[in-house]
Amino acid sequence: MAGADGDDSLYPIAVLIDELRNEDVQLRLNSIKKLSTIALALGVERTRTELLPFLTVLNVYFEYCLAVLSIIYTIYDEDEVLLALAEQLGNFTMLVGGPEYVHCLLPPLESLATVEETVVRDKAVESLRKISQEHSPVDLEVHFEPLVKRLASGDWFTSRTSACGLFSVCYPRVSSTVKAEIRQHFRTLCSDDTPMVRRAAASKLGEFAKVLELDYVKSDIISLFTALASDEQDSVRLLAVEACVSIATLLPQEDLESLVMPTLRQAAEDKSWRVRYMVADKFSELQKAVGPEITKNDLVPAFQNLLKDCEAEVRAAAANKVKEFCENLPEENREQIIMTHILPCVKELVSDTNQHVKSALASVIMGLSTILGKDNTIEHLLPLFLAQLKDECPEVRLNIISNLDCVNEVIGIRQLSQSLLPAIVELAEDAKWRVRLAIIEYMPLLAGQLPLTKSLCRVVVYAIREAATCNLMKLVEKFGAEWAQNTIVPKVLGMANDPNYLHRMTTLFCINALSEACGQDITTKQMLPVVLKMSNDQVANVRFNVAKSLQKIGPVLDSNALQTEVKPVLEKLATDTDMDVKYFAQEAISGTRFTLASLHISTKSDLPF
Amino acid sequence: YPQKDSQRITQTSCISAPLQQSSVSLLCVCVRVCFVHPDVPAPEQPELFLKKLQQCCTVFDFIDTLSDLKMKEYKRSTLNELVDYVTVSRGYLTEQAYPEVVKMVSHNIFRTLPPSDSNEFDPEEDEPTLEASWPHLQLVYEFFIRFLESQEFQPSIAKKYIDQKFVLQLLELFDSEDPRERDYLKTVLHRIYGKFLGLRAFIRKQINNIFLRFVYETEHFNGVAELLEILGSIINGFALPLKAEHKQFLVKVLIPLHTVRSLSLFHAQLAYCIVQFLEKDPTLTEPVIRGLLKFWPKTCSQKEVMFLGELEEILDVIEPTQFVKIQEPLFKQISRCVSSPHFQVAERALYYWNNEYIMSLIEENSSVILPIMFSSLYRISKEHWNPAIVALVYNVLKAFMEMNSTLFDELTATYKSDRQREKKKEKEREDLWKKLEDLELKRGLRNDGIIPT
Repeated sequence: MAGADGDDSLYPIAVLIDELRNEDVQLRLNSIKKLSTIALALGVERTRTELLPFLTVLNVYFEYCLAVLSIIYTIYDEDEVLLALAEQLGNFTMLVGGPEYVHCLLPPLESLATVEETVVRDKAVESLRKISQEHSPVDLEVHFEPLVKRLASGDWFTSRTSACGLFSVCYPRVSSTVKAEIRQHFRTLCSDDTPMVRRAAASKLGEFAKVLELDYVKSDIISLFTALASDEQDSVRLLAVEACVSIATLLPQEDLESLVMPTLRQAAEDKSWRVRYMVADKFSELQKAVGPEITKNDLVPAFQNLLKDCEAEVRAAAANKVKEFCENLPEENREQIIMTHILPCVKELVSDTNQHVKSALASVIMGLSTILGKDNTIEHLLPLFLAQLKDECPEVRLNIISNLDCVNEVIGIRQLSQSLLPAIVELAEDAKWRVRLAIIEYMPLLAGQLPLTKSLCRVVVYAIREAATCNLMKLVEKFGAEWAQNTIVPKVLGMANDPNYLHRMTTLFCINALSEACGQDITTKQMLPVVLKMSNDQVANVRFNVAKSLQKIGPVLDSNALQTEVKPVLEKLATDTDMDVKYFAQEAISGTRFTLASLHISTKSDLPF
Repeated sequence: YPQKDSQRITQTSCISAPLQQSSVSLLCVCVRVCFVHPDVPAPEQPELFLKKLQQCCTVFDFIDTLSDLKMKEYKRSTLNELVDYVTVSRGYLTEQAYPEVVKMVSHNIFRTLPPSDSNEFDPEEDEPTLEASWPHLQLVYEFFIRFLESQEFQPSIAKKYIDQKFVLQLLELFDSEDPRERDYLKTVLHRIYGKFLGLRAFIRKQINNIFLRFVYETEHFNGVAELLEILGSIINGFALPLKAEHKQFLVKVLIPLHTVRSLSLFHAQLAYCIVQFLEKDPTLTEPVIRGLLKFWPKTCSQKEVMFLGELEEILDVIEPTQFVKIQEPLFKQISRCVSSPHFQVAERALYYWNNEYIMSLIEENSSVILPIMFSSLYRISKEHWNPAIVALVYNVLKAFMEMNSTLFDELTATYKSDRQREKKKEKEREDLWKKLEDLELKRGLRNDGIIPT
């Protein structure tokens, strides 16, 4: 194909390379980010023979070689530039001539995988994983696997941590001799004397287990898992918990007890709260991985202990899992387990001293009602909900309110409103706006089922003040125009005289939302005069909102009022001293006229637009 | 905190279960004996010492302030006696005492540190959570330090008990939020480093690991300043020529520590360590300065001021031969700092010209430095918003003019044409990229079969 090789005269590599090592970091970064463009200009052949060697040397160029010290600064460029380079190279396969040549991308990526900066290194590993898939099995053994081995036996910890992420991508596609070597390397890294490397190995243990043959999982992985799970550093032990999920999924049920459970039990009672936290955090996954029988015998007591842990962090993590854990219990004795083992702990957590624990519980506790059914909910859970609705911590109250609907489905709104309404009405006056907002959002749901009580009206007033206009509309649709005329409209209009201009604007926003639902009569007779009066407000923001409101309620008004009352006011506003007021008034005039004109034309000629 | 109580106690009981059962009676005996302590015949004292050490292994719950008040008080006074005993007594530190001392100390100080109260503990903003059990903990540390410092103390016996595992647990405690505890730990670790030659390399390596984790993984560790302070005195004692291990530590650990967000909390100690290294071996100046330039802060002006401060400390001790090697990249950075819109950064950089030694270095190399600095200085003198900076820049320009007037005049004369040349180059670059992009577009179209090949 013509032009497969770049045009020398236009894009001499020297110029491009100059760009790549420009003194200005930003320019260097820009050019690295457009590396694929450069490669395209050079064509595949020259990209392979000239650009890639340069990129490998690029590292050396910025490299400051401390020969005296026998320490090599592998790469001496800004990490930002290296990150861009690492990312680019992952997408370079086609630019170097396709899978056949993909291995020539390995040298620059290899040196990037040894950089200190974690972000760069991770990106290099990601790119290596990506291009490993594009290697043929032969190339994988000839080029890729030796690279992994070099990294795995590197001097500095960075290359060894990078190696951990590469084993699982090459293992499935190499011969059995090489496989044995890879397993050996992984074993070595799991007992590396640098904790950073052990952490990297522990975090890849699950992934590696997945590509291994079952026999090796049982022999190799389990012993590594047991060792990592009893590492001297808790940061390593907690990563083993994560691996536990994958490993347990791989093993047949009958082996779990002897191979995994001793370690898992030990982790759930680890002396470091970080490890226990991890167990709590992964509890649902662990539960699924080990199956119902072990869950019943082992995990239930372990979960109880986590819910009663001495560290609040652990309790909160466990509390978060209460619903999921209960849901996934074996159905035949689910209710019995929850009632006798879990619920007592939950009851204690409701009055926990730590607010994070309580709020974690509050975010899931309502979900238990679906699992336990109506009777249990009313007898055992409702008192807990009530206690949490009255909790001193706003977040707890908020979490309960936001999950009302799941209880509603189980016990019905009548029961719900009888027992919870008083507390809810109280919350409408809560000091925290988020709580009030949550109440307002639930109002239409509650209102549909409730008798019109005084307390409900109080809630409505709050809704008005919070400018919850969208909910107002829904309420008026439910209760009708007459109710609105008596309860809402006076409150809304009353606020037009408020000294705070934000409240005065609220009047306008409410009118915008209400006019359609209230109908022409109320709008023309009660609302319009107030809006017109507000066109003389001192604050420009109020005045241009008057213009907007007039446009909005225009279609609801009768044409007489429109011509005689609205038009003069809009015309006056159109000559306002304030630019914005002028603009919106003109908008309103043309908008309103348009409505009239279109009505006029469609009646006259019956032509569709 | 009722829940916490019961848990804490069961937790401690698994550590010292056998002791706890007998502790009550033992303590009572001890109290009776205490009164006659000064009169206890000398031969019996070592045995009494052992008994008291065993009693002090019992750990009490301090979260509940009301529990075991009497017992806590007994333990406190017993610990006080122990402190006195190791300070005053002569000839009683028997070989049997060593494992008991280490056991007592381990039981009391080694614990998993609790999670921080505030979600994101910010040492600059938040009050640290103080250790509740401090009334006992302090005495245990006090006792341990006196023990280590005692004239009778024999490292050859103690090394059986104060081993790598012990040190590792000790180092983890440096993450404590309580500054009082970290201060004691600093002394303890320093003494151990001084007395146990066999542990030195291990201690350095573990500190390495803590720092690397801090820089590249968590960015959280409360005791960095304390560890650096210990390192400062360790570096001071390094033998020359420096081992490769030490140089690696400088380049791969200390320099990257500059990248951490909370640098201000340990910068003074870090800069001290760096300067210590350079005073030991001046040939390290170049890699250090290049390292600092690599990690130069991009957005945080506060950190930039810190870097400039550290750099001045380094320049104060730099050898002229080393200065020549690094002056170009160094002054390119200084030139950028001088033209920083943040006046504190610009001001800090311009203060270099008040430093006599730096001035003499600049003067010697003015033919290299002046061309690098000139365009920034010239531009700022015309357009910086802050009059104080403009005044400082005038002084610097004046100094340069006096140093090398011929070069100065030359640069002034070519300033305009240089700017124009730069602009032209800029234009060429843009053109190049534009061409390349056109090419990519065309190639794309061709591959899509829109333009026939």
